[in-house]
Amino acid sequence: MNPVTRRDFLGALALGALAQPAFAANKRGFKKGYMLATFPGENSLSTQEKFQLLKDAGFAGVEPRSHMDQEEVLRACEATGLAVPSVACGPHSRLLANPSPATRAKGVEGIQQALRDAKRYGAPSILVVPGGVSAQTSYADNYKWTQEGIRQCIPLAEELGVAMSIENVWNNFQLSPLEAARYIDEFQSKAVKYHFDIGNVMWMGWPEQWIRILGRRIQTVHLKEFSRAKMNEQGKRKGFDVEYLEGDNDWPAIMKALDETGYRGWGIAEPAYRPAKVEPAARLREISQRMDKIFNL
Amino acid sequence: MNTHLSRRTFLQHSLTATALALAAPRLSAAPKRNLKKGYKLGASLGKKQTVLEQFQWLKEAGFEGVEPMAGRDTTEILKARDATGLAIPSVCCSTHWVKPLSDPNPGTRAITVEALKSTLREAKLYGARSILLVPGIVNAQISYADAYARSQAAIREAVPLAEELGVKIAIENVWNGFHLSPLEAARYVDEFKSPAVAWHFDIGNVISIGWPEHWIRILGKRIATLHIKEYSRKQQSEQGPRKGFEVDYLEGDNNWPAVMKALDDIGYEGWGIAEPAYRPKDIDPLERLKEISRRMDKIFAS
Repeated sequence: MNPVTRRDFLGALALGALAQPAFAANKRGFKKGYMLATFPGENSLSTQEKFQLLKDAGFAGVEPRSHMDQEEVLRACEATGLAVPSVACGPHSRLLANPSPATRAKGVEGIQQALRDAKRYGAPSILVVPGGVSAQTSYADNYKWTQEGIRQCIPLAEELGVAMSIENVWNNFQLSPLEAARYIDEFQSKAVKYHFDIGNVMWMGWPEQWIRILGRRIQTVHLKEFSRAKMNEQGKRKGFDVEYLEGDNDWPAIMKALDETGYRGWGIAEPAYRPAKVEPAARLREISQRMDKIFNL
Repeated sequence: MNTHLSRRTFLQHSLTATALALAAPRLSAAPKRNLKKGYKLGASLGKKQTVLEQFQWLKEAGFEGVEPMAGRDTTEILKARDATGLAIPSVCCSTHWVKPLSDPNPGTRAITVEALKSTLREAKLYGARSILLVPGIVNAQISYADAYARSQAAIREAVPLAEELGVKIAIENVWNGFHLSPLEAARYVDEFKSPAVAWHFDIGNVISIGWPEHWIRILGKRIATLHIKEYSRKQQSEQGPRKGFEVDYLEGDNNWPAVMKALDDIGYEGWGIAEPAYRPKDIDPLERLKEISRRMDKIFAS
């Protein structure tokens, strides 16, 4: 063990011991979060009950949707001690791709609400899906319209001190990591960052390359697994039907790339693999344990 | 920054178009569009035939041109061209997959830079206006950023020769993990600031990631040549991305009327070269070529 690694290891141990005595910290000091929209199982749990199960499974934070009852979310945070590292407003920000200017204006309003939600929860950033390319909305139009919409939100984002983090999703847009970096830089605002989803680029690229290219623009990371083998044999979307650590993500290479860019922050689970008829508490513990393994690679 | 250049290019093209219109007034029986049928020579014809026989079959099937591979016997190809009257609109570089311009080893890249130059010279010999170049490969070992930088640097070495010969280096979008955004593809071409760098647009290759009609409008006048290929999003979704290619022309998810309209809108006139990814087994090659030719007629008229 070289001195640096050993010091990091000891530091992480000490931090873990102070903050979360019940759970071993990972060697990188990444904080584990969970995207609320992907909460496992069919259930009618309250927000606070879900937060509690996340806490019990070892998560330190939760990424809720925007437009929730702020008081309810804050009460659940207070009761459980979970932090809110990010607020997701995909359904709203996707409206920025709409050919109708009035609909795009609704998207802007939705993003602005998410920024206010984030401020209230103490979240440093929100998750913004940059519209979407479709037969109706071309790549060029989507580029222009989403930048226009996001630009309108920059004054509020800067005022609140909450970043808008653009996520790469399966919306046929930002298929090149170089273009994604350029897209962010063109705003010339520190209030626009990247919300990098590791699993979403596996069908057409390599997450470790994206991480190095996006570098310091990455504000938040979504953890997701993908199987190229399943995609090739069973169809594109079937690539998501695979458990953490059992797909084709080269996790050691991904962790190394994150180390090299100096990323230290939240790793938020957005499991695309959602087995049916699971018991939420057990499933969350399983995901949490697998994330620990990933972060320690 | 490129406004002046773009405007000049546009005016040049307009003049050319006007001259063409004056020289060849459209007859009522003429095809709906000024698209010429070409065929990319490859393994699909089988290797038992001579080059001349292949040219003869293509001619008989109704094709007007052939896109051969570089590095073959040029005398034989010229003889076949002259014997059949087929044109050679484009020549395909033959080393760009095995010795990619994105390779970490400069020596490997140099081999394809030389091959690129000799492909340009062959194209000049054949009377071709452009060559097909796969600009590199992105994979686990070669990052997107490295592929971008290395391939541009390598291609730049061949640009003076391309300009001197008057043959365009036409970059093709293929399944190489690179050029996944049409905006970036346009930018990549523009960054050369040379009329000798253009695009070889493969219609079927982008359907797994986008819409060819969008790419055509974005690439616009940068498109020197077209590859005609079908793709099934349905088969991609149900059986895997590569299975999307296993579908005959007009039976996949290409929206051909939208593709043709986009080509009309950008003023594209020239070659539509078949590169069928769907290659049914145990079929008489000549019959297959005739079938492809008929389906291309329908596509061009849609």
